[in-house]
Amino acid sequence: MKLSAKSLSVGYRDALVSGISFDLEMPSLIALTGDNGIGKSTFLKTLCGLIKPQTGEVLYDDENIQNVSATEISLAAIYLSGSKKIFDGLTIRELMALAENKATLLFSYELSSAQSALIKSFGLEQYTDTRVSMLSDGQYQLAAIAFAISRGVDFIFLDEPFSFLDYKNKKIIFNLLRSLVNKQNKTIIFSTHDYAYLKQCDKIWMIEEKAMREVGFDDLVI
Amino acid sequence: MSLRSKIILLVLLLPVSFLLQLFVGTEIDFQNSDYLFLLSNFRIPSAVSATIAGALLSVSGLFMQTYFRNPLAGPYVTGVSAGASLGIAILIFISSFISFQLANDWLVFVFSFIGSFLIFLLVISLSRKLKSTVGLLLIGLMISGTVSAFVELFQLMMTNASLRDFFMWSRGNFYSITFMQLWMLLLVFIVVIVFSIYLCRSMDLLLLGEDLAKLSGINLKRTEFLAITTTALSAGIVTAFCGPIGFVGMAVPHIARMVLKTNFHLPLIIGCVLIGGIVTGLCNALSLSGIFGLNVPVNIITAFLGSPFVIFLIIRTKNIL
Repeated sequence: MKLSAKSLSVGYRDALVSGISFDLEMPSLIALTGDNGIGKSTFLKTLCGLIKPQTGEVLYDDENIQNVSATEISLAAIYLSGSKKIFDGLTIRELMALAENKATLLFSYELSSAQSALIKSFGLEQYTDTRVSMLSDGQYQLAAIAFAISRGVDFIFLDEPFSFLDYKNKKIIFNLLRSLVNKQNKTIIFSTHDYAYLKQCDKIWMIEEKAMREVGFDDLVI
Repeated sequence: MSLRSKIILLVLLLPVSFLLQLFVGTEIDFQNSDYLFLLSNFRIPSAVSATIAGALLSVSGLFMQTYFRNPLAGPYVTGVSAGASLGIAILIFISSFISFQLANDWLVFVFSFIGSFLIFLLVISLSRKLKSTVGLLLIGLMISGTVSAFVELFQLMMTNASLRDFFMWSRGNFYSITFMQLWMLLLVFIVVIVFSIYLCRSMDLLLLGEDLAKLSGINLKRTEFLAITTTALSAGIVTAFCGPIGFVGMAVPHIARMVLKTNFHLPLIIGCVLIGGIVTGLCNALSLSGIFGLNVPVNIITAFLGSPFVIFLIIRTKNIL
C-alpha cells in the first residue's frame, strides 16, 4: 500500500505545519523529530484521518483519505497517542482482544499465539489479567505498543513510543519496529526526541519553522 | 469460578429475589381469596416492575459509564432521571388546565423520554467542554438543581389534584404500577436489550477512547445516537412508572465488573440485567417487608444502600477521580 501527501498543511485552528508532500511506496521506518508543540502529533493524527487537513490531501493508494470509509482506514492504519494512560481499567488481555478488531461479540478472550509471544517478549506475561492502569509507565507503554502491533495494519503511527522505556526495552522495541518494516512490509512513523536509534531509521523527518523536511543523521545538531 | 458459572449462579439468584418480593411480610395462604388478590394484583406486578426497572437502570448506567469514560456516571447523577421528572411535571401541569384526559401512560412515557433525552444531550454538550470526571458530576448536579427548581415552580402552579398526583409519583414505588404500564415496561426492556446487543461491539471499542474507536472503524455518530436513545428510553420509562430511583444505575455496573471481572459489554449487559434485577428486587422486598413498621419508598432504601457503596467505590479505587 502507498501513502502520500500533497501540499498538506496540518493544524487545529491555524496551520502548524504547511507544504508537506511525500510519497511512501516502500515499507519504511521513519523517525519524526522537532521541538515540543511544533505539530508532530497533529501531523500523525492527520495522516490517519483523526484530524482533517487544513489544506492539501492525504492519500492512501492515491485515494483521498476523506473518501475512504472508516472501516477501510481501520484496516490500514493505527495511531497510538504517547502520553496519557488512555486504556484505564482494561487488562492486557482485553486490550489484545480489542486489537484484533474482529466483528464479533466478545464474551471472553484467549490471546492468539502471536500475541502471547509478543507479550512474553515484552516481559508482561504475568500481567496479562492486570489492569493497565496498575502497570508502571514503561510497562503501560509496552502494552500499548503491543496493542498497536497486534492490529496487523500496514501503517503504524506512534507518538513518542520510547518516552518511558528503559535502555533495554528501548532496544527491544526498536529492533521489533525494524523487523516489522523489514520482514512484514510495514511502514512505521514514530515521533521521538531520542536520537539513540535515528541512524538505523530509513528516513528522518524534521519539523522546523512550520515546515517539514527530510534530514540526514549528521544534519541533526546534538 | 468461570464467567459462565458466575452468570449461571446469578440466573439462579434472580428467582430467589423475585420470590422474596412475593412473599415477604405476608401470611402465605393460598386458600384465602384476599391473599390471592393481593398476590396477583399487587405483589407480582410490583416484583416484575422492580426487576425490570433495576435491569434497565443498570444497563443505562453501564452505557453512560462507557460513553463518558466516567466510572461515576449514571442516569441519576448526570441529571437524566431529573430530565424525566421535568417531562412529567410539565405533563401534569398541562393536564391540570386541559379538561380532557391527557395523562395516559403513553403520554407519561413520551414526556419522560423526551425530558431524559434532551437533558442527556445538554449534559453531553456541556461535558464536552471540560473533560474531567468531576466536571461531569458537577454539571449533572447543577442540571439536577436547575431541573428541580423548574419542577418546584410547576408544583407551585399546579392545582391541588395535580399536586397530589405528582407527589404520589415522585415517591418512587413499584406497587402502584398498572398492568398496562407493566406491558410497556416489558416492551421497552426488549427494545433496550436488542439495541444493547447491537451496541456491544462499538461500546467495547469505545473503551479504547474516541480516537482509537474511530480508527477501529466504528461509526461514532450512530453509536452515540443509539446509546443516548437506549439510555433515555431506560431512564425515561423507569422514572415515568416507578418514580426517580437513585444509585442503582451507577452502582450495579460496578458490582457487575467486580463479580464478573471483565470489561466486555456482552457479559456486562447480562450481568447488569441480572444483578440490577436482583438488587432492585431485594430493595423492593425490603420496602415491602414492613420491617421498618411502615411502607418505606424504595428510593429511600436504594439511597441508604447506594450512597455508602459509592463512597466505598471512590475510596477503593483512589484514582477514580
